[in-house]
Amino acid sequence: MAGCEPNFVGAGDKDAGQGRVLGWVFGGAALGAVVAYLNAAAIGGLLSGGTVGLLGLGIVFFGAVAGAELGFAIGWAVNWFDRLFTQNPATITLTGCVLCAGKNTGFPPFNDNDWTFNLGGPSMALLAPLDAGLTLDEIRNRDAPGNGPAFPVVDANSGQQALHCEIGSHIGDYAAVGGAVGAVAGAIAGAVIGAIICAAIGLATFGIGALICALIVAIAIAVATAVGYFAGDAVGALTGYIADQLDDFDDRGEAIHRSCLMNFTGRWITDSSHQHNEIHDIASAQLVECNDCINALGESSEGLIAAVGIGRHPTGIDP
Amino acid sequence: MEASRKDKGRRPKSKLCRIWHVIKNPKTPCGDPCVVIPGHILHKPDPCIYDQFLLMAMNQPVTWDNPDVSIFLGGVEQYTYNLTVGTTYDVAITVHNSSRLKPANGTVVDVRWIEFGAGGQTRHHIATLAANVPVWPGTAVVNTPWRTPDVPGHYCIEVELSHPDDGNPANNRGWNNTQVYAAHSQVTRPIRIFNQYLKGCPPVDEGHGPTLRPHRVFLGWAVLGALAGFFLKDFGPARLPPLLRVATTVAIGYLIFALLGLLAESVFAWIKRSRNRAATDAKHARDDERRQRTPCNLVEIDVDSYVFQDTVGKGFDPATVFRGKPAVWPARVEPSRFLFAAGEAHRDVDFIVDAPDVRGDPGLFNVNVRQGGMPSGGVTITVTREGP
Repeated sequence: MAGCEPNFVGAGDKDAGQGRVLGWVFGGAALGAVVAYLNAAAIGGLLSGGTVGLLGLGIVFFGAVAGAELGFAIGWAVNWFDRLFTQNPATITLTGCVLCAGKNTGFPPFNDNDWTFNLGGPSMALLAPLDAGLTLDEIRNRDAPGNGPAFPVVDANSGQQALHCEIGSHIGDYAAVGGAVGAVAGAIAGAVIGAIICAAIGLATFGIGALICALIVAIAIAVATAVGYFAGDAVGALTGYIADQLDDFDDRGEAIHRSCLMNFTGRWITDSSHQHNEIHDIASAQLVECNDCINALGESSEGLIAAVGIGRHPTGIDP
Repeated sequence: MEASRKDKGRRPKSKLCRIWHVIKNPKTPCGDPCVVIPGHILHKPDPCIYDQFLLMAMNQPVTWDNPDVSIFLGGVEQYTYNLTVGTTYDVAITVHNSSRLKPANGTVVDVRWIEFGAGGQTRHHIATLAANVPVWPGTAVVNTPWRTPDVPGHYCIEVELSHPDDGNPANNRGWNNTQVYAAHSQVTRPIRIFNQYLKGCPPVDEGHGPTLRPHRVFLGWAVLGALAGFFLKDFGPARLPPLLRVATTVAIGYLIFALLGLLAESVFAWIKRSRNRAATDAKHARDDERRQRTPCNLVEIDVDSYVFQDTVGKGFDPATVFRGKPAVWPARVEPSRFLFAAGEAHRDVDFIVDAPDVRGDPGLFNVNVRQGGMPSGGVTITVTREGP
């Protein structure tokens, strides 16, 4: 199942978040290489100029791999919880036409499993708070405090002005934490496993070289870090999935598609990883009606939204 | 659209292929045919009232004679303007619920009075009531006695609802602000317009980032440093027992990388701000220009003779019920557009109506006020004709 992508009106970098994670990967790789080199040099003897030979290069290489994996896992988690910047006012209510409805179903970190919507159309309006200067343009354009620029977006299919809105799944959060914890645990476990393998091989071969042992440990750390990451990621994702199901244990949801008029209330933020504003998380959603609001004139939709708003018409599709 | 046409009919058979398909499938512009929104997000109670502010935000005509608020004296409905001092009235409020599925039990109903006019900011408490509102089309009526102040004045009633699990918090405020007077020929009546932003426009809090965020340092950089310290445990003080040596190198690694992280994140944030400066400045200049088009002290007033025909359900046709109606007689407000000066708390404008000279049906006029482009209040004035 696929989520909804908006397009920028002008400037904007949808993949700004990727660059931030790459920094952690390269930094982690460099750190891993240095740690591996120091360990190898300690075995080879620093007095010899620190030369470590091919075995040593191998240790440095796998140290860099392990460091990159740890850098990715920790950097991903840090950036995951650091990407949303809250606006002032923090909570807004918008109404409009759902131009796109989807869900980023899949495996984290590739998919966060959030429900995603592009809300827009001719009936799009701010319902609360009604403060002077807080227009739709402001909602779409304003940079959140402490963050870099945000750029307005349009719905990729209809080209209409839109605001991207998301219901957050627990899967993304839990998987990010699980992956980081799993990678760290894996690295430590890899060191232990590598030492055990060294000891076993040493017993069988009446002793192996310390550098060979160090290489085995480095490989074990690199492999176990990756395994630990994916295991932690999977456990986190499963836990998040269960948490999502428990949230809705007593209340089954309802299918929504494009061309449904809806009200969304939630936190107004700037998503720094995609450089656009959003409502994320949607705290409450109201289905006004499902009609041809994408193509209809705004007046008919506005009247219906108003009728529901004052309680003269119920929410939800008429039976 | 292209992606969805390409994918149509492709159903990988093997599980591994399906897994790969899910991972590789790019986000499509159209999204999916449908998606199920969680029930706890979608199904919430929605206590609501005839909220003129929401209606004006949706460009619908309004009446300030709120159909959900009534004031009675001895069972006879009263207008809010000419209430008698020191008299106890009965205020009845009808609370609706737009939800078909969830009752709005425990809805708090706050009732207040404001000085008559548009945009009054000083609220005087009358009562706080509780309402249990059944699912749509059920309603709940709550009542409270209200003794008017002993000092002569003119009043507007404001009702505000609140509920801890409200599906839509934007439809909870309604005013009842009415006046009636007799007229023949042209009459002028003052209406007080209050300044919503006496202390200045709402501040715009934006940008100036990225800035240093400590958790990136202490939960990111420092954690990597601690791990590096763990794997460099052999470089720790040899005289310490093994566990203590590990703890020492871990702690040293954590501290060193915390300091490095503070420096690196500060430099990184500075570089990003510098790189973004030109684009950010240009963007803010455009934002400022856009904001100045409707200054927060700009007041705009219009007059119409819309009447709300209250009904519920299938009988409520928005196209008919929300059809606007221009002023039935020549009526205007002067000035209809002005700017509040700094520190100006209110300004009186003149409602001028040219009533026919003969006896007949009263004319009803809604005076609707916006400040800074947003609805700020209004009054409904009924003008009776007592001519020959």
